[in-house]
Amino acid sequence: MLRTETRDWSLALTALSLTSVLDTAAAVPLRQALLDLIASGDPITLDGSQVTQAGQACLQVLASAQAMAASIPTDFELNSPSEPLASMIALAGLDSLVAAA
Amino acid sequence: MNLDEIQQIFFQECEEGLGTLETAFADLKRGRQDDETINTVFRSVHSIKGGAGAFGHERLQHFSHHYETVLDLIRNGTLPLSEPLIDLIVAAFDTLADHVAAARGEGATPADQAMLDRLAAAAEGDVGTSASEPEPEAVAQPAPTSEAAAAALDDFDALFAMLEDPAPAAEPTGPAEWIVTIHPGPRAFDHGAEPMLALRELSRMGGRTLSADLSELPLLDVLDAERAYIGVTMAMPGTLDEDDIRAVFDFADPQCRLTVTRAETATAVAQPEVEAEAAVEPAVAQPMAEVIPLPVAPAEAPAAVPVAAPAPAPVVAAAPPPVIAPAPAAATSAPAVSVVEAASSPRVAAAAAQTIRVDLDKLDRLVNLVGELVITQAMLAQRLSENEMGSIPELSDLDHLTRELQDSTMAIRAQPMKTVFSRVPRIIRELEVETGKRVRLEVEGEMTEVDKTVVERIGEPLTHLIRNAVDHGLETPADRKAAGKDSEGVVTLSAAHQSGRIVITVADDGRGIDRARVKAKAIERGIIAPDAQLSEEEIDNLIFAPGFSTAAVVSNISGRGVGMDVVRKNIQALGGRIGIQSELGKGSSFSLSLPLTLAVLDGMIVTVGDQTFVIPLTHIVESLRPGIDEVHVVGGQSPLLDVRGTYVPVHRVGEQLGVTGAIAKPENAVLIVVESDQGQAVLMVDSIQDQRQVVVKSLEANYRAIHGLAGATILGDGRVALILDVDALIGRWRRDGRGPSPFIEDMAA
Repeated sequence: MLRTETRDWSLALTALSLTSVLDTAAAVPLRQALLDLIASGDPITLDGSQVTQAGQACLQVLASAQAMAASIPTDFELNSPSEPLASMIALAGLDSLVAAA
Repeated sequence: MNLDEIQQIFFQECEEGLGTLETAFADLKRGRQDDETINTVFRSVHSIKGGAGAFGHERLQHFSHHYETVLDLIRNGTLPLSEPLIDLIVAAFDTLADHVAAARGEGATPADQAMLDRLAAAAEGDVGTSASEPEPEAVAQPAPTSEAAAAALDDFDALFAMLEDPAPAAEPTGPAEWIVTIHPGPRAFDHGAEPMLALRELSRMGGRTLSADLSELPLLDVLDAERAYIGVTMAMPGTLDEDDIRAVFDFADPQCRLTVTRAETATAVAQPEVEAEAAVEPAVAQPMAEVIPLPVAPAEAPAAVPVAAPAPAPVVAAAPPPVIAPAPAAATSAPAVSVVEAASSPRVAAAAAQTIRVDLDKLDRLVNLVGELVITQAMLAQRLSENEMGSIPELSDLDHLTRELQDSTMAIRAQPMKTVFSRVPRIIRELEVETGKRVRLEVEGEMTEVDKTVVERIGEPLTHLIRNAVDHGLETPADRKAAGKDSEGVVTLSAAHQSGRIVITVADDGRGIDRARVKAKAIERGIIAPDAQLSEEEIDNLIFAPGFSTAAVVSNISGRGVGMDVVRKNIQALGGRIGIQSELGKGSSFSLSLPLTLAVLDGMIVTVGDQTFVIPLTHIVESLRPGIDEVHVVGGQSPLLDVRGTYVPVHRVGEQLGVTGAIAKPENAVLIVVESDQGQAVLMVDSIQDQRQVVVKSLEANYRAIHGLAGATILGDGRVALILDVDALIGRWRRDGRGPSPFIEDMAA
């Protein structure tokens, strides 16, 4: 699958490298970036390798985006989650976010 | 309430927890090593750990986790409580207190590695030696991999896993797991709060995530990114107390929905019919499982868990015996009978409703308003009395109610001296190390209550008196033995109510005050004239003189000759007085007599010329109108009053304070005998108006501090009356040879 590495959500087309800090403040821009991606209709691939901190607000945005992508349907992948991100995903019981990859 | 405010509550609870720990350690040292005391210690540390996790104070949490590990081993009987072990946990407490202070930003983070090593060694049964190497078995364990939910979140989690208690393994058939469901409230992210921190804490306690509840999660286009939607279900080790699990959420947002129930496994064997019922329940919970596959897989658990899961799993994983049958095990995630939940929740709620925390500013406002009410009531009484209605029953009812309201309001501000006394054991421990002396602390009356302001401001002078008692009062163990005393010195700290005041006493059984040496030193320092004739009391009081120190070597602890002077000043600033009793070779006792509150005082309202003053009742010994032959003038100086054979100097208040129109002849005036730090004295006033409680208004806050005045009050007729600071005035008049004092200029200004 095609992956374009970029850290700027506004420049993202079909791929998105998640920013390092996914705290509550990051949830609103993340939601908007994902909505834009979904609206493009292309498969969505996220790169989680740079994430050093993840909170519940962003995790639920990701889970919601995954559910929305499935309803269209559009492919949704979260690849290479960093250890902190993987830990938080597991802790929140959102294993399906990475299981699909 | 924002996150900072909630965190402040956490820090307050930390302080209370530390106080509780000090008390419990005192009990332990006294030999009261019952389960309740040990549980109290464990719970206090556990609460601090929980809050530290919730607010992201990782160093504090890290340390308290290791501390708690050892305490848990003591609690469950794995580690027998010995004297070295008590010493270790008390020493670890000091580090914990430093960590709490660091978390509050009141100090540097302590270097705790050595203590952590000792705790780790103690957890292995090695008390008193440093653990230089980690446990080999633990090192050999590979890092958690597959079951990431319950696995490492931080580097030190591996360390946690290593230290987790071995107790569950020793109990193959422990209680059933707890099933905890958490649904953060919609506003759980407000003020920067992060619900994941609580989940992380549960994970550290051995929890593992079973499932997420996404039933309330909308699709992205209608999702409010700043609102919480997801719930989580976790399994917690059954050996934990329910309260400990709930304690993790003490600081969660109020709308967080939390249920803690026992899993079905324990009852499954005994009650198969319940098991069948429970088996239906997962179907209800299934929708969430559709979205997120449950990590619970009993069939593969025995293979995966022993290596991967750090601590939590042993109950399930290390129990291959057919206690948990493969088929019903699927019901592990199902909540048990909901009666447990229903019964426990109201209990917690009821307990929480016993106290509320109130912002101190609000309380102070209330105290001020009550003060105004008291003044207004006095004004009303005066006005009615002028109209010959002073005896109407409504007025006395109002008087009664006002006084009750005032007492009740003051009682809200009252705090037990325990909050101050609980810091003393640590001071003593540090002094023992610094001086090489052995000290036993005995505490009495720690529940005696006094106004919060007094509690807050008594700490420093009290600390100095304690340090003084140990450093100067107590002898070295060798000297004590030579003097036929126990090598362990005793410092007694007590508090008691006496005549509407609180008396705090710091006593030691040391060498006592060597008055000959004190006097010689005072002469050497030029504090007194070589030919001065001083009573024992006056010699004792010399140690409060500025610049006085009898220590041959100035130590870090005390002995710079500034402390005792400052102690007295601080006590006087609180409206208190300090007294000394000492017997050479047997010990000394310093008594601090303080008002219960600084907001009101009982005073005598007196008239001097055209002014009205208040003399605090605590200073007044008696008042009298003298006969001509009772007042003597010696050598043209101020008169002396013959008080049953003792000649006491008479101070003409009007003359001293520059008040015009005051009565000049003692025989026409009223003489009030007062007790001051300088001994007895007589204040000469024109007349006594009344004796009553007055509301103290701060001069500092409303005007500026004036030496010799303790404050002001507003009288029933609306006039301001100044409250005399008897100690300061008498002291100044004596030093100035009873001449006019700068006070007059202050008054004129």
